[in-house]
Amino acid sequence: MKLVLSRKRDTGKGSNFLPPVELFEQIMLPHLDSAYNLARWITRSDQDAQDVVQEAFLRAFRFFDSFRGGDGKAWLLEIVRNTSHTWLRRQSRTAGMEPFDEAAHSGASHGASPEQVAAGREELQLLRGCIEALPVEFREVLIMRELEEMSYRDIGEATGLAPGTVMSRLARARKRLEECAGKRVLEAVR
Amino acid sequence: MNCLPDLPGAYLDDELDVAQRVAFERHMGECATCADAYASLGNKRTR
Repeated sequence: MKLVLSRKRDTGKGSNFLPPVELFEQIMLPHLDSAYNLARWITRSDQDAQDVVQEAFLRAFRFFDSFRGGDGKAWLLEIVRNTSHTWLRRQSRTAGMEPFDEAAHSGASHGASPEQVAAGREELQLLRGCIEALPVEFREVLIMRELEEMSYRDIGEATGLAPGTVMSRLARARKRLEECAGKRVLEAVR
Repeated sequence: MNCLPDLPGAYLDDELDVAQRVAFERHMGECATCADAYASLGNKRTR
């Protein structure tokens, strides 16, 4: 996705210096895909995710002077998460999901038979549906852990949750995912 | 015996400290439900 950062000086009180753009880009841009991924799973919409990421990066840029070092991923994803939740509240919609962009998200399947590809696609579709059906508080920790491979500590940092809460929320998310997948498989074979 | 449903995943994620790991391993030796949950989660990861 294309990102547009304003280089205009913020003249607001207490923030009248320009954060170094190059430093910001160097630290935050490597996490652009992670930011999009998290926003996509929270908003369940490609277009919304792009808008959220755009807004989140602008916020991150504006408040970059409060960044205290590290790899920046947890810090940035905390902003993406907050922006996504604000976005969801603003949109006030929980239904009306857009169809997932299969072409953009499916991996290559070299060497697999058409049957294997079809079965893999079905399984992926089933899991995707179950993840999207999870309540957002479970969905976000699951995505941070399973797709973004973040540590519990970083997830706690990004979500404001205590490590023990991250642990139990993840366990419950996985259990719900398993139950959902089992149920849908049964429905499919009936 | 009380089950520890949050721990199999955290154990597999390598997110437990040494004391927690040892305690959970001991617990799995005595709790078939948690041992099964751990095995089931581990199997799914290797797929």
